[in-house]
Amino acid sequence: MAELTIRPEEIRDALDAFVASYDPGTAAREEVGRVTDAGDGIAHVEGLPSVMANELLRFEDGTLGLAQNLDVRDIGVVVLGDAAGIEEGQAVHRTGEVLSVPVGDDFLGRVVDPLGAPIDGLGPIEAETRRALELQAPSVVQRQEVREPLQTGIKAIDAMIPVGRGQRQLIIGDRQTGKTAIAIDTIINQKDNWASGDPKQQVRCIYVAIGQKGSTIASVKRSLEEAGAMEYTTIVAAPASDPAGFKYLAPYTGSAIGQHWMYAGKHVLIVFDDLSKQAEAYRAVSLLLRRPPGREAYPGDVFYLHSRLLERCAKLSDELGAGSMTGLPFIETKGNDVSAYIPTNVISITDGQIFLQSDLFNANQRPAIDVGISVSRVGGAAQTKAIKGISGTLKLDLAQFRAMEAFAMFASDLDQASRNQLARGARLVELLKQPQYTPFSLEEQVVSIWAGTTGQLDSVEVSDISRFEREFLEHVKRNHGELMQGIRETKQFSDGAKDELKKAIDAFKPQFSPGKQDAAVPGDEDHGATDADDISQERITTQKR
Amino acid sequence: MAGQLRAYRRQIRSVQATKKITRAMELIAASRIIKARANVAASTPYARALTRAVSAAASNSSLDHPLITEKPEVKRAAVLVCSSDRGLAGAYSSNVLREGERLTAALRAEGKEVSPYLVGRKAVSFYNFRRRTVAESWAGFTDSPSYEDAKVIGDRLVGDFARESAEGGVDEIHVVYTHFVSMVTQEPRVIRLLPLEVVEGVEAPDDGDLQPLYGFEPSADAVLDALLPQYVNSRIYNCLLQAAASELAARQRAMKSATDNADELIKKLTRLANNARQADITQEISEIVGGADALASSGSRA
Repeated sequence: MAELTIRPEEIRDALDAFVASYDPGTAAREEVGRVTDAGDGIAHVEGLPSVMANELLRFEDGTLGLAQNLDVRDIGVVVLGDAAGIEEGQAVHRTGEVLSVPVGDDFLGRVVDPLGAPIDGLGPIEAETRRALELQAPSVVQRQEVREPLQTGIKAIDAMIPVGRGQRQLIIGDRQTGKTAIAIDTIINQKDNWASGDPKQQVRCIYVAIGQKGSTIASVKRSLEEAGAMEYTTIVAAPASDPAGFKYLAPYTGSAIGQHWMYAGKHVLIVFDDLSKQAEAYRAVSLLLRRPPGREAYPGDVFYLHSRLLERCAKLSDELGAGSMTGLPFIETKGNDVSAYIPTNVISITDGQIFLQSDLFNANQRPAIDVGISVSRVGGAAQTKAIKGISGTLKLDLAQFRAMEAFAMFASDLDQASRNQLARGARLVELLKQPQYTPFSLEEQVVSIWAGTTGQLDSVEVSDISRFEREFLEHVKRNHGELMQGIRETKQFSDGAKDELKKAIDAFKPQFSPGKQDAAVPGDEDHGATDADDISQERITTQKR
Repeated sequence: MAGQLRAYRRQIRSVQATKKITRAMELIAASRIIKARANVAASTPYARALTRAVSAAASNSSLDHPLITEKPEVKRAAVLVCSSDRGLAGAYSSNVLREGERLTAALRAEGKEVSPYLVGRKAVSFYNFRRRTVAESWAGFTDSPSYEDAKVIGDRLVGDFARESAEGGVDEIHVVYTHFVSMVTQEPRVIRLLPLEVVEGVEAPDDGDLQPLYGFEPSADAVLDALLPQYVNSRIYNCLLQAAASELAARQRAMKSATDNADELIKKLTRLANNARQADITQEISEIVGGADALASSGSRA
């Protein structure tokens, strides 16, 4: 009987040899998943156990997908692109890449989709590098407080609700109240900064259109081109016809493009038009992924959706190059209801809000900013000295005007002081009106607000205010050029400048010809004529003798 | 939606605030109309005595006073329109203004030029809005006119009547005002105040009625000269008092119906608000149920 012995050394040697001969390279297995079901832009895929969250997957027909729900047995994938070619049983491959977009200076002047691909027909874009879409916002030590002004060129905003570089300022209002107009005016106002060629001044702009009509995006692009503002602007477009996945990603794409510049020490302005459509797209995706719906059927992380996006707008510390990204998120309200879910969320995230009221818009006050409830929580620190010095009384005068306005409806006989306040308020409100595409430079704003708050306009008819302002600014620019230049360069409004301006307005007033009251004359209603019988004659009756 | 409910609540609050105002105005008008009627009654004895005195003086005079003489050619007619200072009195002001328009049309048809004299801010703004020239306007006393107010108006009108129409004077004077018939009825009326017409008394005095024998110093004509402007003022004062009483009555009625309407509106809006609240609750429940259902079915699928 042969002796059967077990020698531990042999076994150990055999095991060692096997382990030593193991080469991980040859064993690299490719995971191939299978589509279990697909529909509505969502596919469920089995058999990809090591896929990362937000990883890009490739379907058999080349369409990309974004891994979202990592469940025990399968994953939920958002299809980026046309989902029509995806069928049950098809193979799905990992790409090993987390979703990222190309970024770089070549993007200026271009229109791209949420994956960074150009859609304006101007050829390919040379990318400097790629940047992950989902990225942690700068940490506390990487930031500093908002300290430089971002001039919007809109008098009401720059004087009372100032925006600083690195601030998140919400623009909220009903449809058709001029939200987009404010953003476009702000972008156009950066033209002089861009022309100066000084990287400390220049502001690169990104306009992210989410769920907008294609025609709206085209008209925005055209107005930017006409104003010469397109050369420093990138448009990220996810029009209404795009699948929900694209609309949900577009703001992150814009943000990634902007962050690249911000970390390079440059200044960026990013406009999200508008985030309520992004929330709706995200809600659609979440419901299709069968995530539990919460209030108004939004998923539980819709707050995080916006907060992580807006936190990426920042003013970086000097060590990191002191770049900044200023965010102008939009929210569209329904029926002026700001207490709905998404508006309250975004109001609490941002550093202030600009309310646009439809009744003000209809009352022909444009921009229709409700200065009573619009605030800027950090922008005051960034205001230039020149504006700060004259806007304090502006806010006060307007607040008193609003308090008084309610009285004016009922009591026709007010004392002189109240009547003066009403007259001043009416002129200031008129002064804050500003047509679209006419941004005001710093020195123009200083001059016209100074004229309003110091009562120089009280002797001008309300209907003449805007014409007076226009002609007076022309006059000052022509005859007192060095004064305007002084304000522009020092950003201060000295007492000497005030005296000179006072003399200028006194000299200008006699030249100004007040407008004619050529409003329509009401016609006369025809009520017929009184019968002669209806006119009773007063009589004195004498006594008969 | 929650917004709907909020909108209804806000509307209810605003209607309630308006109702408070209309209710207060109704009570104020109700208390002041008593005084206004007393004023009308108080002015009657003086007016009657004045009428009797004018009548007596006229019976004994030569009747060639300018105020009682028709001018040969009437070129320009004055129209005194008595409206109110404040609104919220229903159709009060618009009724009297419409009567004024009708009178103006009638006078124009006769080839006369019309020169308006206005009492009350409502009439002033009506004429200003239509950019018409106004001869003179008075305001600030329509709900409690004093005799001094009437005298100012009367003196101006008599003064203009005394002048030739070529020199900016007027040839006849009409008054449009609202006559107070009762608390529920007030009607706009037109009277031709100047020149006055002198008519013979129709009824012969009763046998027992003694014809008072007046002695006029210095003469009947001189007394008539002094009395006639007084008489005109007193007539204007009466018109103003009637108008004031009518204004307050109209305001009380208008404010009462406004308060009633506010009550009705609040009731309707409260129902709508309750409906919206229930719809909100239903929606929230269905969202929660839908969410729970989605969780349960995804749990069973995994």
